[in-house]
Amino acid sequence: MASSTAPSRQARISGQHHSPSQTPLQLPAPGQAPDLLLSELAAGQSATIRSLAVEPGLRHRLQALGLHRGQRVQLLRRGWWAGPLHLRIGMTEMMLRRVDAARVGIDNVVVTG
Amino acid sequence: MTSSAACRPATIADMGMPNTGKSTLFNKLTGSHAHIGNWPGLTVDLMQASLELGGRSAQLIDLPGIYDLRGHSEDEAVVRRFLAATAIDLVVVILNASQLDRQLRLALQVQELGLPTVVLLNMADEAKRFGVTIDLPALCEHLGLPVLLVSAKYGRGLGEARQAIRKALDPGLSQPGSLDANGPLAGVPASSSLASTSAGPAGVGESLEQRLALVDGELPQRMAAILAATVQLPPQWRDRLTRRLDRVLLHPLLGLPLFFATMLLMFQGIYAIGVPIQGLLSGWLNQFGQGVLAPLLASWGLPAFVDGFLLEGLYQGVGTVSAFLPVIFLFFLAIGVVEDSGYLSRAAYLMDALMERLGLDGRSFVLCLMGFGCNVPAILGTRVMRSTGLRLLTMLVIPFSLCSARLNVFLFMAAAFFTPWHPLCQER
Repeated sequence: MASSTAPSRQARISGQHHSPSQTPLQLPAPGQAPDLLLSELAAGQSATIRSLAVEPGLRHRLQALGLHRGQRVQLLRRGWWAGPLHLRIGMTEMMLRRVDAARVGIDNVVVTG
Repeated sequence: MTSSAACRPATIADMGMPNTGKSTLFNKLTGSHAHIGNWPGLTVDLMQASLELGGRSAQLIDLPGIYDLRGHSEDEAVVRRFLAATAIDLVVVILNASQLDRQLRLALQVQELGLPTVVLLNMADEAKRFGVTIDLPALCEHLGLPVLLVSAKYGRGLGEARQAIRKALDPGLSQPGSLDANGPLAGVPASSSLASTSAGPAGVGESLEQRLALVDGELPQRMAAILAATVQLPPQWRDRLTRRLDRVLLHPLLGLPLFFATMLLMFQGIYAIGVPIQGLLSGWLNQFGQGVLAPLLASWGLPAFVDGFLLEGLYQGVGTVSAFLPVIFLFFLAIGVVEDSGYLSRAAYLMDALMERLGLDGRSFVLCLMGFGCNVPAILGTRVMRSTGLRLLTMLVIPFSLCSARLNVFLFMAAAFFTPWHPLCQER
């Protein structure tokens, strides 16, 4: 699914205001909790999904909607009043609640506009 | 052609994710003479209709839309129970061609059932418009299944689809060297079913579950490999208009007021057009009653109370209710347009934050809104919800939205009882 674009160096950003360090992102070691969560992504950024720490029922639904490991995901907008996230995965647009997005680990954050 | 298997009507089930135009395709393929089938062990009604395949008769069963064969929603369980309890000759998998990048997953899962399968990629026109290119021969080869592009909406590719289904039903008919209709797990012979492989339906359900669980781990890699070889997505999202509209419609501040203004306009529009038609219709019905029915009844010389019952009771009662029909019709039309435009899913996004604080979600709000059209499909729509609590709560809330028929009755009653000159409204 050749939609993942190589992150250009100047566009590569780190963990926003949540992460104190400004170093480029790295792949989390196996078994280690990912540094960044999908819920922390800002509008206009895209990232690669690294982990899905959700119950099996939700995992099946998310996978059927295209959210699986290694897949690029773009955040189009964040809902008002801590509302859901508007995401695009491949050719599918979906919304995901922040609580659920907080269970999805990501890396390779790129600003796509 | 004259084999014994050809005499028995074949049982074909269609399967697909929600919003793939599955029901439209079902109606187009069968000519929409569908009836509700009775299937053992299922608590839901499945639509079924006969499918004519050039001399071979078959029954096509429309299974509920599912995301995942191993999913945990009510519909997904229904499909599993159906597969376990019913002998199926062929599965037709219907996928949205423009979203093949994620929907192929279901085809791969169905493939593991080992049943003869035909894959139909619906909404082929939309995929082309969005710039999704699919290498069909390569996809056929990778899947080992016949794959066809169709467009249910425009009726394209339906003849070819019928032929492919016919061929897959009787592999002997196809030319030698053509695609094998069986999946890679061809241990199960063609036209057998999962039901015949084990003792009881419960055991079969488990074996199906186990078989799917076994391949679940390698599914993503296999899917990625097939997609990389066969499907090309557009580098840029082409639908600029949608993006620009979304910027306004999903605006954090303007979004909700805009939505409610649109709904207000819709209701106002329906009543602005519907009420005069309603008045005209009731006027005509009244004239017909007074001018034609009343003299007719009088000429029969029936007792006065029978006369009154027929004219003032039966005729006027039915007349009053049927005068509501224009408004109900307009309402269904309007809600159908709004639903198909995709605005309702955006409303779910806009309302989710508020509904979450009420223990509901954005979908509950949309279903309540659809309940203004008719409560029954709205309550049926809760089946996609995975959480039982949420589903039950939504079901209990939906009846509070007055459906278009009830709303008319309420307005009628309100106008009758609460007019300024009515005794109930007099202060003294």
